[in-house]
Amino acid sequence: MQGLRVSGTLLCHAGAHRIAFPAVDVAVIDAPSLHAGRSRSARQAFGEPAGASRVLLAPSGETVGVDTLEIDAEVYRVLPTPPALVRVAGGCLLGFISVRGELWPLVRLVEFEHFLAGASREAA
Amino acid sequence: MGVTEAEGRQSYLVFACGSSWYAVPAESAAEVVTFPELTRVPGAPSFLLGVFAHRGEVIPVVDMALLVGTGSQSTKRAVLVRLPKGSLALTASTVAGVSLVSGSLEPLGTSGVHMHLRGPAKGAQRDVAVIDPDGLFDHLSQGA
Amino acid sequence: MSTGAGVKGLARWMTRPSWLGGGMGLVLALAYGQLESTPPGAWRTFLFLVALALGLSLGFTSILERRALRSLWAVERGKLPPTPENLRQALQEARVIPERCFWFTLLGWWGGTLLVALAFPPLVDEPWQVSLQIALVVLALGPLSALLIHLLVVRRSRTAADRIANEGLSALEFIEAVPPRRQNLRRRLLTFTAIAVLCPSIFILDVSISRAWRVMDEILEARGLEAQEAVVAQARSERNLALGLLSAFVILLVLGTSYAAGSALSEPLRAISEDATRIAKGDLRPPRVIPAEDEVWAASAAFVQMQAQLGQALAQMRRAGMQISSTTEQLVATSTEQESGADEQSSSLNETSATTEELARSAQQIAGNAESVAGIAERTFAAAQGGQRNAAAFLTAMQRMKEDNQSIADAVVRLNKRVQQIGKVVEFINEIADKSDLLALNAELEGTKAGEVGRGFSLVAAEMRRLAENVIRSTRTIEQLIEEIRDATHAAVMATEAGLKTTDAGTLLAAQVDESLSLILELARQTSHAVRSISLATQQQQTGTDQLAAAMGDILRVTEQNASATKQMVAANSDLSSLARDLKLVVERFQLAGREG
Repeated sequence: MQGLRVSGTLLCHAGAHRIAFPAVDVAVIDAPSLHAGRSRSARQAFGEPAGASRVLLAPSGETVGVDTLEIDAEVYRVLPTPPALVRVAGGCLLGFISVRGELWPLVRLVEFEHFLAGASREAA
Repeated sequence: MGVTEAEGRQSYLVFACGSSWYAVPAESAAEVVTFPELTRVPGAPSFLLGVFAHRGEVIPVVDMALLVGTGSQSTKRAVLVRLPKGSLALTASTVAGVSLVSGSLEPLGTSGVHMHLRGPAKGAQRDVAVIDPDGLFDHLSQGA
Repeated sequence: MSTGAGVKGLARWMTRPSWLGGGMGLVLALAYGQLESTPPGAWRTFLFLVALALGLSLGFTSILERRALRSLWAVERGKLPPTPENLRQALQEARVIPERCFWFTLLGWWGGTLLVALAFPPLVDEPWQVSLQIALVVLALGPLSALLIHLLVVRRSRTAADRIANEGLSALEFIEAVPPRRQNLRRRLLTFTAIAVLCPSIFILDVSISRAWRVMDEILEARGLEAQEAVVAQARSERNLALGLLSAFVILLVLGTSYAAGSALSEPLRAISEDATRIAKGDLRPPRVIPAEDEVWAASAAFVQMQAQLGQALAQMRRAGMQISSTTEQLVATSTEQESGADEQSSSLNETSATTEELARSAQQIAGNAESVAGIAERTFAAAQGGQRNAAAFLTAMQRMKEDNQSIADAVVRLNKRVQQIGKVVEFINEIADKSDLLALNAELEGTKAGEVGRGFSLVAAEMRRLAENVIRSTRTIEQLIEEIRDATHAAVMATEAGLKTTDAGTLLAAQVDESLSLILELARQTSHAVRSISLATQQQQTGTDQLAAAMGDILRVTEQNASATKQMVAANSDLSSLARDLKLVVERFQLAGREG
């Protein structure tokens, strides 16, 4: 997607790793206690055990747990996904945004949740 | 891909990752880069160390050692392979340089890894595993 | 013992020389009578008287002799058994017989001559001077004849005595029966000399004188010188031969008698010297009796006794020698055994001594070990006692610590409570802050999603979020502090608990230690006791061993002395053996045979 821009992102940490979601993907930010046991954790995508301090609730009801979270209202230009990584993570990778000199992978929340579900099902 | 005959002498960029030597066709090898802190990609296979921004482009970095299964090799150097389909960076601990490699190329396969390595190839005073970048690319893009 | 057969005819044989005496007397008397030129008519009377006298005297002497030898006759005839008693009697008779014969013969001569002398002159009317002359003849010839007979009988009686003794008397019995009592050799010699000299002298004197008287008478009777010269011539010429012969006969008689006397003397001496030589050569037979008279008999008897003694002595020596020999052999054997036994004993004693020494040494070692063990036990005892004291102190310390810990624990518990309360409050605040933060976040999200329109909203929300974050941060700090306190208190509690546990463990340990120490004490006491007993025992053993060693030493010394004594004994034995051998040689030289004297 050339020339993609994103306005409003949730810059999250999953463990030590960075992951960003478009703000439009998230309906509500919740405490994990409200979604205990049902929520996947973004950490799992990085091969780390599950765990979250905030849960991102999609409008369609999917939840993904993250650790720290920061809302950025800036508009960022999305660097396109390298063709080699197009199908990574079930294709939910939109691209990368550079925030404050760091690259953040921008991921669609719902697809990411699906990917996590699939991965966890495979793992099980 | 199958076995092909000797492709004659081609120039390859020969590099080592760990104790194994590899060769990529010189026309595909763009440059040797030193990459900074990598950004991990969620859901990526383990041999994909991450990505980094290089001249406005996001380049994925593959650890050859992890890919082949000989353990990880910490290095900040990589060989940037530019293909029509896209770019890749392969970690290299030592880059020998460009040389001519000849010999029959047979696919080397480690269990479960579909690699397009051909070799052994002589000429560089060593046996090298010739990397087929396209194959590698395809392997990557199929996912782990 | 023979039956008297050996002495048969001995008495007669012994007295047979009497007949010789008688015969000789007759011859002499006749010769004398003829010489005296007796008238022919008286010749028959003379002959008759002489024969009568001779017969009488012979008969008389026979009777006397028989009486003198009655025991012998009885033994000969078997009337008496040849017991030693009777033999002794016979022997005595036999020994006395020569002298008796002398007197018998003399008596016979005197009796006969007396008879003739008394009877003849009256019968032939001769003057009594004839009787005197005849009596003188008797005086002259009688003793000589008697002497000769005596000497002859003496020789025979010696032989007879020997034969009688052979019937059953030993040499010593012989000597005992006829002991040398009278030492009359000098007297005998004197008598002999007197007779031998006087009798022929008297005889010849008598003959000469009578002849001279006759011639004188004849001369006196003869008238005229021519007649006297004729008488003298006749006297000189006639009967010289007869006279000479007679004189020679008498002299021969005397010589014969002397010879017999000499023989009678010298025979026993010769026999004695023979025997002595034989003995000197080494031939010691049972002694034979060499009968003799007087001093010679004493010498012979002594010689015989000496022989007997010698024989006995030698026999004893031989016996002694044999006994010594056998005894020394036994001794040698015994001493060899003893020597080897002593050697064995010595060596075994040495071994025993060595063993005893080893024993003593090991006893010493044991004693030493026991001593050291005793020392260790003592030290252990002291240590255990000290340990017990320490354990007691430890226990009290533990007790105190427990009390202290208890107070600490109480304080900690109180602190914990407070902290818990604080923690609750903080948690509450945190919840609120968190909720606020969440609210603010969502508000900011909405604002962002709204875009430009929601920018102000986002800002406010962001501000709120920041506040909330501050609160959260501070609560987090508080929480951290609380955690720290909790950790500290927990640590303290753990510590006290640990301390409690430690004290409990320590108490347990102290109890165990006490128990162990008690055990050790007991053990030490027992060890001490045991060691003392061992010490005593080893001391006793040592004393005993010392005594044993001393006793062994004594025995060893005694054994060595014994060994040396035995060696000396062996040497002495060998000397004895050689002595015995010498004795044996000496004894063997005297070949003892038959009965021992």
